[in-house]
Amino acid sequence: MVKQLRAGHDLEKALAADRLGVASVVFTVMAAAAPLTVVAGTVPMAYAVTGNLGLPVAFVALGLLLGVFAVGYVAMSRHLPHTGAFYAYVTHGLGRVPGVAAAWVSLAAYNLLQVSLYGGIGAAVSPLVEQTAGIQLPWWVFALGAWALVGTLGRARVEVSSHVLAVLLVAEVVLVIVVDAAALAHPAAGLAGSAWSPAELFRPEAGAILALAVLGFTGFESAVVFAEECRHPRRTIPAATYLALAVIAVLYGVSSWAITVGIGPADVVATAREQGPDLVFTLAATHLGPAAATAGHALFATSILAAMISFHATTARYVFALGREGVLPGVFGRTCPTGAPRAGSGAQSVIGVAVILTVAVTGADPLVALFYTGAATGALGILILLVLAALAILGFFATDPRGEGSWRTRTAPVLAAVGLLAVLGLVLGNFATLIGVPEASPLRWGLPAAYAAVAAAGAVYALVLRTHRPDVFAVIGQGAKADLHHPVPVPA
Amino acid sequence: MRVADEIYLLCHDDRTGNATVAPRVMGAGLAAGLVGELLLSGNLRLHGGGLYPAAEAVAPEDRLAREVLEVVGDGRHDRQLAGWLRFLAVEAVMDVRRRLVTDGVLVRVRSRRLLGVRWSYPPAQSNAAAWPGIRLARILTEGEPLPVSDQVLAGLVDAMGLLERVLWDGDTHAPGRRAAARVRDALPGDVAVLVAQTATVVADVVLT
Repeated sequence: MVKQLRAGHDLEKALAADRLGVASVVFTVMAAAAPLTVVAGTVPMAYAVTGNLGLPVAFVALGLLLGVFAVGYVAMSRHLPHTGAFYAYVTHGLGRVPGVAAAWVSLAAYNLLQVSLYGGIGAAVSPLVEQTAGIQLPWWVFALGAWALVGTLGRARVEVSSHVLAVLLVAEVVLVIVVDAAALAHPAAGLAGSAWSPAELFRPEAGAILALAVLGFTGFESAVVFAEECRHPRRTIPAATYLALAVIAVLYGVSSWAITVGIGPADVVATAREQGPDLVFTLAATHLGPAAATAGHALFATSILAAMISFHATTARYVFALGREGVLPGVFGRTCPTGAPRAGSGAQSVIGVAVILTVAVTGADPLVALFYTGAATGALGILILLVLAALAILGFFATDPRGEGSWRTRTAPVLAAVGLLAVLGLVLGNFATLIGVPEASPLRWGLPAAYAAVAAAGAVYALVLRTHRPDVFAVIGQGAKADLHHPVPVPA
Repeated sequence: MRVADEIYLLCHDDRTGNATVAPRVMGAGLAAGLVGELLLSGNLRLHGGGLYPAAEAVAPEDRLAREVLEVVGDGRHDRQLAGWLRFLAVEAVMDVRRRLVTDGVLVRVRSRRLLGVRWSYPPAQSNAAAWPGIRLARILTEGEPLPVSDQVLAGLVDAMGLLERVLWDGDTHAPGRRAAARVRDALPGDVAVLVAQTATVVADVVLT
C-alpha cells in the first residue's frame, strides 16, 4: 500500500480500494430486515390482531412517506460526524437534552424489537422440531437456546458472515415471491382488489396497521452509515436508501395483499387468528406441496435468528457509543480486544433472559405477548424517533441550509414531519387495536406512557450532566467515530 | 524495544505466535505505535490534528520507520492523523512482523497442511516475547514515574482495550487501571492526541 502511495495515488484513493456500490449497501440493509420474519410472522399476526385488511396500502403509503423523509435525512447525514443513529440527528437538530431523551427511547425500542424475536423463534422452532423429530418441548427451551447462541456470538463478535446473510436473504425473497405468485394464481375469491383500496386506511383501526408497516421498514435508516465506505457517497447513499425503501414497500405490500387473495379477503382474519405464522406455510403447502412448507419453516427460523443477531449487535453498539460519550456509565464504552462491545452485549443478554423467563413463568402466549406486542410497541418507539428526527432535520437546516437546496432543507422535511406526526397520532389513537387489548386495558396507555417516562428520564439525566459534568455534556451526539478533541459545535 | 514491537508481542501468544486480538483492533494499535515511535524520536509532529515531518527530521536507521516517515512526509497527502492511522493500519501487522523477523525476535515457520502450507511466526524465545506484558503490568502496579515511551505504550494498550489482559492478576486491576488513567491524563501534548485518536479509531472498529 505504501508503494501505491509512492506511485502517486492519494491517501483517500488508497483507502478506497474495496468500496461499496449501491447493490452492496441495499443488500446489507435488507439482510438485517429479515423479509420472511415480516411476511410470515408479522403480517398474519397483524391481520389476526387488528382485523384490518389495509396492510398492503399501509406499506406502500408509508414507503412513500419515508421516501420524502429520506430526502432531508440523507441531506443532513452529510453534515454529521456520527450517522445512522436517530439520536445524533435529534442532538444536532433539536439540542442535547432532547438528544439524550431520544437516545434512551431508541435503546428501549431496539431492545423491545430484539427481545420480541425470542417469542418468535420459540414459536417457529418448536413445531418444526415436533414435526421432524417428534419431540415436544416448550417454546422457551428454544428461546433460551437462541438467546445463548446470540449472546455468545455477540460477546465474541462473531458476526454472521455477509455471504451467509446474502444467501438467506435471497432464499427468503425467492420463497416469498413464489408463494405470492402461487397465491395470486389461485385466488380464493377472485382477484380481490379490496385490500388495495385506500379506504381501508380511513377505517378506525388504520392507525394500528400503519404502526406495523413501520416495523417492516425498520433498518432502512442504516444505509447512511456506509457513507464513508462508498465510492461515490453523494450518489450511492441516496440511491441505496430509496431503493431499499422501494423494495421493502413493494415486497411487503404485494405479499400482504397476496395473502388476502390466496385465503380470500373474507376469511383471512379468521384464518390468521387460527393459524398464526403457519398461515403462509399452509398456503405454500396447498399450492406448492409440503416440501415448500418445511423449507419455509426452516427459513422462517433462520430469518428470525438473523434478525435477532443483527438487532443484538445494533443494540450493543448503540450502548457502546452512548457509553463512550458518557451518556451511559463508562464501563459500557470500554473496548475489548476482540473488537466487540462486550459490556453492551452483556447488558442486552441480561435483558433478553429476564424477559424470556418472565414470559415463561407467567405462562403468557409467546406469539401474542412477546413476539407481537413487543414488536408493535417497538414499532411505536421507532415511529416516535422518526417524528423526532423529522423535526430535527427542520431544526438543523432552519438557521443554516449549509448549501443544500430548499426542497431538501424545508419542503420535504415539512411534508415528512406533518405526515409522520399524523401517523403517530393515528397509531396512538388506535393503540388498543394495535396490541389487541380492550380500550380499558392498562397497557393501552401504559406502554405509550412508558416511552414518555423513558424520554423524561433521559432528559433529566441530560440536565444533570449539564450541571455536574459539563465536559461530558459538551460532546453528546459526537459518537464514537468523531474525534472528541475537535468536537463539532452542537446547538445548546 | 520499540513501541510497535511491544504492542505486537502483547497481541500474540508468547509460545505459538498466534494472534489473540482482533486484526483490525491490532492494526489500529500498531499503526499508532509506528506513528508514536516517530513522534518520540522527534521525526514527526502533530499540529492542529495533522501529522507533519519535523523540520529537524533525520532518516531513522530502521527501515520501516524510514518508510512511514517518507510516505507521511510526502506533501501531496491529506495530513489528518485519523486518516493516517486508518491507512497504516491496513498493513501494520505485516510490517511490524517483518521487522521483528529481521531483528530475530520472531522466527518464520513453515508447516504443511492438508491443502498447501501455512506460515506461522512464533517468538524465537518465548520468555522474551512475554516480557513486554510482564514489564508493563509491573510498572503500572508499582506506580513509579514512567519514561515517555512507556507512557505511550500504556496509553495505546489502554486505548486498544488490552489493559485488563495485561493486568492478569485480578488484584492489580483497580490500581493498574487507576495508574493507567493517571498516565493518560499526564501524557504530553502530541502523544495525548495520538492516544485519544487511537481510542477513536478502535471505537470505530467496534461500531462498524
